[in-house]
Amino acid sequence: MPTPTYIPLQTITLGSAASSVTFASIPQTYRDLVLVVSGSVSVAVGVDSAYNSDTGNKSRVIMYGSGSSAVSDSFTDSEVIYLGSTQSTATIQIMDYSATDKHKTILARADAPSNTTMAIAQRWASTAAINSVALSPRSGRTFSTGSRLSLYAIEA
Amino acid sequence: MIPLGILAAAGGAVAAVDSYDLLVTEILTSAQSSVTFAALGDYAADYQHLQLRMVLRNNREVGYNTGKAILQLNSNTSSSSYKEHYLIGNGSAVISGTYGAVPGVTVVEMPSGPGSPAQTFAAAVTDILDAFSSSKNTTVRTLGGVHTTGTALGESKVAELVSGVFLSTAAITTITMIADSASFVTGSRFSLYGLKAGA
Repeated sequence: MPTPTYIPLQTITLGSAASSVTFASIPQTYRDLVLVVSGSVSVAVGVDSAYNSDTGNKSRVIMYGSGSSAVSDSFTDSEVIYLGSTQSTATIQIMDYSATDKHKTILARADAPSNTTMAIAQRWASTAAINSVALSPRSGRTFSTGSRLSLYAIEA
Repeated sequence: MIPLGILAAAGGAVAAVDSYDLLVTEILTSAQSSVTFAALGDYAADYQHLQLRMVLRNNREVGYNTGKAILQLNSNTSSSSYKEHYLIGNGSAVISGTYGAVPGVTVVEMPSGPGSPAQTFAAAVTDILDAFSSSKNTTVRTLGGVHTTGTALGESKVAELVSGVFLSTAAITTITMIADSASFVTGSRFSLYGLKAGA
């Protein structure tokens, strides 16, 4: 029996610049999360992720086009997307977020049209179910006023 | 694939929360070499597109740091029935190519072998567009990847975009996911969703 899903959990639209945005008390009754970011940051920069307030234990591989070349690199840090100072978008897929038998694999696509287009695979090396997600632009930058972040949940 | 009606709903406009439905999920309780979703024709009247959301790992042993997850349609095993191209970032370079003679579309590289932590899984979101059309070849596209920090061949670093086509105009009735030369491990998850079309 088909089950309607892709449930909008919360949308945060910033009324003023913010150094971080947090989605807390995420229900554990779904399997995947999708976080859609539409907005910009004060200066083009990577955006760090924290799951369950854990700012560490992450690694990632990225692939991006700079406008003149295609580049791939990998890092042990918490960055999950890259946003520009002009309107940018990103979609972050947090797979099996409520599972407790796996490290979490996060897939993301980030498009900062003035800077880059990017695909990211991130791992959070924890088997804990995720109950909060926070995003913070790096280097003290801020999300711009009007930026909108929407969190959806998908059943499985 | 984000249903636009749902984006609109988030903005307080049109509420279309039943445009994206979970059809079936299989979470493996033991290793399996393949997973099949059959009788999909039952959904043809209600849905236009399909989406597979997968979290998967294989048990290919020593000597390989990844293994392929292959999407096969309508049980067609002929490699000449499929075409695909990938764009992969492997942590040091971006490469593009094809997987050659594969009996399906390789949608993602999975971690494998004892060198990578057992809790690390690849993930993939695969859209199967116009799945029930009987006048078009069926196209698929995937965002996938994994990052493990294992030792030697246990290390897998892949962010990838894949496009593929099934060179048949037959409506899709069966989807099979195959672990190339191995099996999907316990805990691997395969979920199939349907997206409705507007009137």
